Amino acid sequence: MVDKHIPNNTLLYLNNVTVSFDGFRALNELSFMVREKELSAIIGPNGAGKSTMMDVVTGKTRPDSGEVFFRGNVDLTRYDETDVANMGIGRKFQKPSVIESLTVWENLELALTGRRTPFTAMFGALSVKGARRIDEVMALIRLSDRKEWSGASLSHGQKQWLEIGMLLLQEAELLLVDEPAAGMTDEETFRTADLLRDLARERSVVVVEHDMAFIRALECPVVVLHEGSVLASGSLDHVQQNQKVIDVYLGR
Amino acid sequence: MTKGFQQGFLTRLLLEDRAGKLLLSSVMAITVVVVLLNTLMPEGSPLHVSNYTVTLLGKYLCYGLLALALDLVWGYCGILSLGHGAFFALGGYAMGMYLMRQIGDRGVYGNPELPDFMVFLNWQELPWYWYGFDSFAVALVMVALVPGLLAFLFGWLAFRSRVTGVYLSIITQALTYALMLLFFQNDFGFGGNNGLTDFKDLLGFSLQSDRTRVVLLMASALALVLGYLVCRWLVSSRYGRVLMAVRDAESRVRFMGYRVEHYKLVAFTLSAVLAGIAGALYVPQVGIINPGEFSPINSIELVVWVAVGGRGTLYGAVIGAVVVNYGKTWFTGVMPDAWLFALGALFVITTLWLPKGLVGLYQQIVGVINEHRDQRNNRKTELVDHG
Amino acid sequence: MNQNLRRVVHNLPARFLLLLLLILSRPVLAVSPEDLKPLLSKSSWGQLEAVITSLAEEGSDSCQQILEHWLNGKLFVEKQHKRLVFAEKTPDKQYRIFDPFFTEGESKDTVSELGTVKKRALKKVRINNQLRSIIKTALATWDLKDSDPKTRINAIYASLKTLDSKTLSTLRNMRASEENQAVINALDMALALNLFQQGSISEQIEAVEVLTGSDNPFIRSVLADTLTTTENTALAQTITTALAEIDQRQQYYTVAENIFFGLSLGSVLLLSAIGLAITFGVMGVINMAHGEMMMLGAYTTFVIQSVFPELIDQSLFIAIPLAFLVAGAAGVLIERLVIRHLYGRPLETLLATFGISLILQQAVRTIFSPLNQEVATPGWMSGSWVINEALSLTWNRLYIVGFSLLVFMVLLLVMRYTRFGLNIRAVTQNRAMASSMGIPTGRVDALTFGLGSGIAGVAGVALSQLTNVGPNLGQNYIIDSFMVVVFGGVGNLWGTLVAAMGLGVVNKFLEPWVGAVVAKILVLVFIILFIQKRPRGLFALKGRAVEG
Repeated sequence: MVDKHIPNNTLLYLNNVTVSFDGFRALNELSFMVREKELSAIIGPNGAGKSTMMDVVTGKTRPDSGEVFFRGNVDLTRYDETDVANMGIGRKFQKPSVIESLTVWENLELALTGRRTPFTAMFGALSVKGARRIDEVMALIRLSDRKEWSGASLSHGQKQWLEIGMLLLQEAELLLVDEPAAGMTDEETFRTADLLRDLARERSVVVVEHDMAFIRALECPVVVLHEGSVLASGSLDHVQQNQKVIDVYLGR
Repeated sequence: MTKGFQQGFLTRLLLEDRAGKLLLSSVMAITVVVVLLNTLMPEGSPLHVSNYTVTLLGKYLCYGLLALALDLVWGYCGILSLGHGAFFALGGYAMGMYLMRQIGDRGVYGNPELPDFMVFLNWQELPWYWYGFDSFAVALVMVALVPGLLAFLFGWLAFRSRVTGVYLSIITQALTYALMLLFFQNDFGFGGNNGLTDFKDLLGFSLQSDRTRVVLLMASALALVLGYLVCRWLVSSRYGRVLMAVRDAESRVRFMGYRVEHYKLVAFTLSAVLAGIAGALYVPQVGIINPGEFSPINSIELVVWVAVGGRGTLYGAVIGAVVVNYGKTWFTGVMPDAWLFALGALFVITTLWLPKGLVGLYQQIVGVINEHRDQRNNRKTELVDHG
Repeated sequence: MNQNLRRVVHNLPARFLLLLLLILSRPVLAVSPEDLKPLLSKSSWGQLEAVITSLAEEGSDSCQQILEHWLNGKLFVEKQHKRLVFAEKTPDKQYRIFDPFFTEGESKDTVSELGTVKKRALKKVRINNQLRSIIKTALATWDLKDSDPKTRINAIYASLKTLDSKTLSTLRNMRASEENQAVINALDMALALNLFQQGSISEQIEAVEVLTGSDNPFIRSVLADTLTTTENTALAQTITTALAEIDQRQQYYTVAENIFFGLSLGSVLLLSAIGLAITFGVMGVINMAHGEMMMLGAYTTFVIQSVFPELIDQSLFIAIPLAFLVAGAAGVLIERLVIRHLYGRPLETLLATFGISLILQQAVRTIFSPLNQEVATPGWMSGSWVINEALSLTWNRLYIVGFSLLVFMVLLLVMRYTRFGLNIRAVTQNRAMASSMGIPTGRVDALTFGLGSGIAGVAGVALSQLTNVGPNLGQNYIIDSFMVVVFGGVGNLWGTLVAAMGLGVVNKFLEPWVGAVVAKILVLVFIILFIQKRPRGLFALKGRAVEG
């Protein structure tokens, strides 16, 4: 019944989602969708509801009203973070949150897809294939020579990359990436953009970002959030010319 | 072949744990030496180790196992339980109940069916929850089952609704406090105020005999070694790494698709079982178990052992337990009033200046020495270069 | 003291003896020194009994005074003058002696002092248990003539069990001249009871109508007894209805009493939790030494009372501000020396403050004693407010309920309307912003912690009036206080109020069912389960701010 009005290739679908905290509406009847194998970006000033949107999708926050569907018919509002992650939605946080006391390799091993019960973690051994996959990703995120370094000893940019690597090993169908370029050098920023474009070939990627140069480098459609709902959407050039967007976001 | 595998397994387990290896071998060595000196040396000899020391060492080893149990949840998973003494006490009570049943008709009232305190309360028959405790096997199962089950239920409720941090600490404290009030009640059927005591024998061996004490000490040492190996195996598996990840960034681990509450629950339950075993070994050595063991201060004192030793390192917890308890024994002998001052100061000092405990302090000192040596070596090479 | 007297008057054999005496002895119209002669020399117990009887018959205040002193062992014979005196021991082991005789109309309290003598100069007038009970019975009839209506009412109810013709005639006479409505009601009950016990069926039924209004347990038991023996259906029916009505009223009183006890317990919880609501709830600092701050307050009261033993009645008014300062200063010190270094590390704070609590407890043990200390209750706080036969509320608990609410309101006002309160809220809500606006955050932290601790100290003063003052005083309350704050919702003062009162009342309603300890355990279990359901308490603030 629900999927009648949802296009076939839609992976994530939010309809009229409202979340309020003590009267403050963090999301105000937000509706938007993500198609399969699509790269899209979300921009918006602080408090526009970007993080809350991600919280709703990943099961951290229950919306007061509205619906959130994944793959057409899975009602995400009924699941918690763990379930949502296991369904194939990966999330990278604004603040890089790798596990600081574990090494690069151990971080990646934790993220590696597979059964995640305590008993498999106790008794299951790492497969040769899994180990090879970790090595591949480690090479991709250029941390092969830092294999035994602890998460805490990495630079800010390296932590961001390690986190992206962890998302890759999670084999997620949808990646929600919050400010991946924060704290990176220009060179790193462009490489990150390349990496995300690459990733979007096989899965959907939603990037939340402030950095306009980075958004431009992603070459993807942009959604502008303001006060909990969509203010404008389209190509970056298109939204940058929108008067409302200029007023609220790009400065008067 | 099995033996080869086991050795291989053990070697692998302790390969990167030099301190652990050292700790386990010293525990075993000290136990063996104490046992030999106690049994072989005549009483007057200066080399003789008294029965008192044997029991004291046995007690310390039980505390070591208890500290290990707490370190597993606090040091590795970030769950600061202020109620672990409850699991220790429950294990102790299970063992105490077996020992009570072994008294038989040798009690003051000579009732073959009922323990003295029940006769005193005018009870006519054994309450149902005492059934089966005349069997050692049942008692052993209960030693693990009762604390484990309580921890499982409590943890299931607490972790499922994501009670963490100080909130969790406070409700664990409330748990042991509630149990203490309950066990103080006479009607509850566990001897009320006085608890369970006046034990006679264990598996037919008199608890007063020297031989039994020695065997109990060896059993405690064995339990500590095995407990250490189990914990070591756990924390060095992927399970252990998930635990540490939960400690450092709980919500991140959820977003990775791990069911954090299950991981915590397994660790918490296992830890409670270890604590229960420690309690069960403790009771026959000290000869009494009473509701005082449930008092919140006991549990929190246990936290300080682990903090002093160095949490997050299993051997540190054991070292802390022994060091602090040795200090306690010493203080209570020399100036009993000062002990609580010292204990209080320990809390403040470890949290303010020794966040990683004695182990951390040692590592820091070694680090400074190494740095110093490196600098000196560098200077030497420089001199050589210049020369 | 007086209450004790009355209680013993119920002693039946004693009353019986008195009756016997009244019948056998020759009536004496007035007491002359002659009649008191047996007291001065060695006389038989029988002679002494006769003296009591004559004193009782005479009935003047002077006689009552003599009997009371006799009973209390303060009636002596001064050997030199061979006269009766009252004697009181002085601190230096001497005795001040007073003249027992005063003329009617003079106040009882203006007895004239005769000087100070050594113990050797005095000889105590003999007494034994039998005489004691006779004196007590005799004294009880005085109460019927007492000027205080309350005493009269109590005396009437005390006489219910032995309504002989003599007492009845006294009561009837009283009824004719009595003006106080409450006393008249009591007299009517007594007379109705007599009618019920002696009258015809129709009179009995009539009497039941009156007795229905009584809350006296003895009247109820008489009614219930008659119900089982009577063969008259009409009477049985009337009694059944009456009993139902009495019982229902009893139930209301029980509920009212439980609510009062609950509120009283709740106010203790509130007092102990309210400081914590500041340090833990508002600042987020977990202070395990909070209970010891209360202990400091309680010991401050003890010290004040020891230093100024003559100011017991005023001691609390001195102790309250002083306890606030002592505990508050301790709090500021703890914050500056320890907690400041541990912000953002709640588990470490918990451990360090627990260490401090151990040190404080041991300090008190070393300085004072490991034993509990006696803290006196001021006169104005003792006694109780008697609402009726079945319901009376003790003043100290009533005062503490009021006091806890007062402290709560003051704190609320401080938080809402003062500059300091504004600073506290600013610092806790956004430290960086507050700091950049020139608020000295470090000092505000210290003072906030001092405020919370000071309130704990004030709570300690109140607790000293209810429980034992000893080194463990704080420990007994710490878990409860945390439970209240968490249950009410961290950071919400109103939540703390509702939680404290709610938990107190629930606890007291559970107690009669399961016993005090199990009730406490059930409440703890309930809170533990409740936290599962709503980890942020009853009145949780929802939103991002709290989740950080």
